[in-house]
Amino acid sequence: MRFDMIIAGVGGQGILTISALIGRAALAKGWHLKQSEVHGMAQRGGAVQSHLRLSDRPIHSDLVPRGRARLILATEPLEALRYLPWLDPREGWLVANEEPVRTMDAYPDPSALYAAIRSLPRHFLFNADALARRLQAPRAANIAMLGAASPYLPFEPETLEAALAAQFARKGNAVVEANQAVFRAARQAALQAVPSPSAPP
Amino acid sequence: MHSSQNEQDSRFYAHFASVPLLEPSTQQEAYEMVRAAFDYSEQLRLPVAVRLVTRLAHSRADVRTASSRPENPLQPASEPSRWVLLPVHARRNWAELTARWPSITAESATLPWNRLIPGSDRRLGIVACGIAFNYLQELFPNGCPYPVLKIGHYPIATSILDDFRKAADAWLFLEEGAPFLEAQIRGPFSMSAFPVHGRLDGRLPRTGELSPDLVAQALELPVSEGHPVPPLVAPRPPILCRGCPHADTYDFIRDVMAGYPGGRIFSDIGCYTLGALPPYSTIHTCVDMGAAITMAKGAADAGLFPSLAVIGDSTFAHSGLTGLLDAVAENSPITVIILDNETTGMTGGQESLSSGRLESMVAGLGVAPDHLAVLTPLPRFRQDNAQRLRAEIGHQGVSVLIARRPCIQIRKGT
Repeated sequence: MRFDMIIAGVGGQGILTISALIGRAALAKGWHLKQSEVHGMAQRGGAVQSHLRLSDRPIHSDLVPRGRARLILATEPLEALRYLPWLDPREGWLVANEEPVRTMDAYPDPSALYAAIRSLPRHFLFNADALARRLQAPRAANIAMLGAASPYLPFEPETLEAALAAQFARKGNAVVEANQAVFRAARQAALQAVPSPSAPP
Repeated sequence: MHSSQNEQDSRFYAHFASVPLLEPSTQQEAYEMVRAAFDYSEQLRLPVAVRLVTRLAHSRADVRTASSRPENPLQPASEPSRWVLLPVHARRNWAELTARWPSITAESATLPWNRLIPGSDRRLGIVACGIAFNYLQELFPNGCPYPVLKIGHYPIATSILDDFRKAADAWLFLEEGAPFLEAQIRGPFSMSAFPVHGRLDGRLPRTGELSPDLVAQALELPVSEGHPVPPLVAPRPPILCRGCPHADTYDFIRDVMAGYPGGRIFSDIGCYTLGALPPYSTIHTCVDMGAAITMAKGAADAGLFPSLAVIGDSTFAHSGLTGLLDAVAENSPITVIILDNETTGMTGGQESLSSGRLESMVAGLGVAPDHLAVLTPLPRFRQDNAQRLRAEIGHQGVSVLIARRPCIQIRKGT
């Protein structure tokens, strides 16, 4: 088993929390993992990317080589496109959030971003913020993204839900359950939109 | 990509100080080397450096931990000559250290961190330092055809280099940071004694981090590519948060400084360094912690007017006091604006040591009470704040304005 991915977004969107959750799930499986983030000023609204590598054998490079990511999970549509050279051209999936984060004047027209995302052979585009708001957990859009990406990740959903429970345990049961509800709804949305994503090895 | 300055290569410092340095290639090795470095340091009675590069410092992995050891008993130093750096001691200590250096260097051959890994293709020998070894392994999962010298310990015993010289006809250096070893082996001549490749002959880029793809290119291996980035993807520079107090401070500073095109605003290290970029474009310098005040003082003393310093509250507590004392002592005509968001914002909201005592610190350094004021950086006070700044610029001495409003991130968190 070997799975390379990139998590992309804007500083403050909870990308490192997504990385930490997938890391917990990998450790629960007894897998090796390497996670490396590339950012400028962490909290300041710049582009943030996290390279995440999972394997049942030792992993060498901390960085994902170009063309090798099986998944790009993007919490923002412009950031979804920034790391495409890392996406595996044969079997890589792009799972992206529709909700733009406009931190600069020269922000492109979102419909052009959506068109570029839809031009990829394997993609799932949905609004994670809207789903999180609908479930009264507006700060859980990153968890919605994890749920939407979960059919493409090499984990059973129970493993990821257990990681959520462990990650948010100290915030209490209500927070754990709210995050798990967001996760399940987003996973359901992804499964309905793209009926049978190729099963991971 | 780093948060402020270029990455420095700490191997130069270890070399300069004549102390051994260990350079881990993985998180696991970092864990093991720190333990080994403490033991080695106690054995040598010397500091031992451990080099962390950006990629290792910004990554996480599964690590097998060892059992913890009991803390050493406290043993206060009993030999003042080792710790009192009078010239008489310093000269003797330096002579002793340089006399020990050949044996410390030779000893590295007996320690496990430098390792020659044989390879059948002797056309190239690869010297892989620290994290570069991972990229090589990534490219050759079933073993590298070339002989490899994995470097994790400096100084390097001559015997190791001699053996590797016999193993290959040319060397390729893979070093994160500077071409530290490559330059030593190549020497100052245009032609080396044998072919040496790396960052200095263009086989690898001279600057920037290594990556598996760059190492693949240096070895003329194929590099895979994903999809191209569509041209509409614009860069996303970092910006101050919406509602950040610094943005309001920069607004009134700009209002005032529009009337002084010859003036300069010396700034410092924090979120507020983003004031150099649009849409703020307010500050003119950022060098090191505390330099806002010392540079403003130097410029004012040289005749620049008006000379402003902008410094965060925790940077001020860290390194601003000495410069301010100097400016007060010489009555330099500067206006210092302390951006007091009551936290250390850029690194995640740690406590600022000046919180609750900033005014008394500034007054204690001798700033006159009439020229020390606390302002609230909010849009509705923009004109009042500008008026106060204009008045202080007119003062022929040190003024300190504290622009105080809590960091928006910290407020969110509570």
